[in-house]
Amino acid sequence: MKTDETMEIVSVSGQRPFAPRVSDFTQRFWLSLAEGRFETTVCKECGQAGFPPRPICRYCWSQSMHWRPVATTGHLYTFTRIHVAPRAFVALSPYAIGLVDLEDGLRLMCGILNDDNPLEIGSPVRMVAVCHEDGPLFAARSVKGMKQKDF
Amino acid sequence: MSPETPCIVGIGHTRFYKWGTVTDRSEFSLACEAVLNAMRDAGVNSSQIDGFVSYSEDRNEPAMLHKALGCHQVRRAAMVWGGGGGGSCGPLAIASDAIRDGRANVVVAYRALCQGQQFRFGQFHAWTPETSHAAPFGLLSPPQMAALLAQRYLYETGAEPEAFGEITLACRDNATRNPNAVMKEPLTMEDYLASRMIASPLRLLDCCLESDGAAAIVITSLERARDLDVQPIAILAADQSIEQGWGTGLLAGHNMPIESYTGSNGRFMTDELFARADVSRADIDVAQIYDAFTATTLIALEDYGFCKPGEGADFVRSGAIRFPDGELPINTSGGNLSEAYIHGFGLVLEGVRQLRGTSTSQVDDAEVCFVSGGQAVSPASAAILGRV
Repeated sequence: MKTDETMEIVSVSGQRPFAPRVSDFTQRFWLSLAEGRFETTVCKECGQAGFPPRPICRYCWSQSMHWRPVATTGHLYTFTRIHVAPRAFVALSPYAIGLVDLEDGLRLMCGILNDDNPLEIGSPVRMVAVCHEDGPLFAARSVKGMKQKDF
Repeated sequence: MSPETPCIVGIGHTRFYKWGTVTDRSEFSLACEAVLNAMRDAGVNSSQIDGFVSYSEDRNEPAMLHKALGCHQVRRAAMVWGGGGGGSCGPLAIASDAIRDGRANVVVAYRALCQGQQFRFGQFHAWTPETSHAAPFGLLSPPQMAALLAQRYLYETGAEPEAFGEITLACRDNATRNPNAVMKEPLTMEDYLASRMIASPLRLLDCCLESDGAAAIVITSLERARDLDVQPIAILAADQSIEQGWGTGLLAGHNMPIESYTGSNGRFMTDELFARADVSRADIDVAQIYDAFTATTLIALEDYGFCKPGEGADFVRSGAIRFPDGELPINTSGGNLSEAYIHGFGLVLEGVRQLRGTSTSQVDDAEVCFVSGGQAVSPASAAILGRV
């Protein structure tokens, strides 16, 4: 399991339709992501990791957390293709989102880069950083040569 | 049954409308109309009412109802937090506790929605921190969230979308007999399959209605109910629960445990509920199972123990949930999918009608009815009602 590799950065024009809220605590995550590093927090006391990053361990309630790289490969656990989009996302529809089980055991929700093939549960995916003009998001892309179009 | 047993002695509602269409009167006036109708049905006056309970941040506060109805002393006023319709049976649990403990004598539970005047229910608001890991990807509304769970369910069980469609058709068929239902046009499986995709695999007809209206019930002890000219319906048990790992469940994090991801967030709660009510699944004559989305209702049939895990599709396609011949007719008023979406409270009223023998799709000799709140949100809730 490689967790130290840098993610591919896909640059796209325009702004994110709905930018995440960035706090003092979470800005490290978003700044790293913009540079292609995918990170989360691990508890120094009990060693448990989770995603998204959090300042307090949900297993032992320690506030002593440190940052570590997250696996950037995994499998698609489930997905939906959204045909009736919220106003901010209409230009992108239909678009796909899904849950990914990463190789290091973490599960996360993210966008799925458009491709022309039907999505399949269980497909191997790789995480990529998608850098818009106003900041980054992350997305999953099939390892089996999905064709990347505009996200 | 003990004299303290909490019983529903009155039900009332307004006319049901398509969402956003009630513009000439306030949401509060709808709430009052439903409460007054329930009071009349029970034969109680406002001086007897000493408790108000609701859920999902209902805007019609007990203080306003107290003033408008001219109540005397209100001793219990409580709200089930969050979770959308997940909490729809929660007020029954709170009222039951208050009545059993003698802390309130006559409690009104209610829900009113007038979405054009405030905001559309389910509309996205960046209220919680975790939305930063859902909304930026375009995951903002309940059907999108349920779709993730529905897709996984189809994958794990090999079920076809027609199993979801069977829930739609069963509810609509019941609604054709209910003059109060908003949607009464008969539907076929072809209509279901032809309805437009909203968030795959969920189609328009997999999603509940959006409505304006209000519904209310009056709850008191069996002892007090004996003094009223009504047939009391006992709340045998009512509970609410957030199960381990579910947190906000479907409505943001999707960090539910892998072993229960395609679940209802009500598996353990239901086992406890049946134990407390001292009835078995086989004792349930009719059920009102919250139907925000067909997929979550199907999953609930498994999770609540009415059929085996993974066998929900075969169960519904065998005709089991159909009125009148199925072994477990569900949502006999048409449910959230076809009667109206008063956030699931219409299902509570229909449970009472079944046990009174006054449903428009009346199950013969119905004695015990299971009612649930919304699935896969937190807190979830459910109740078992029984004839006295």
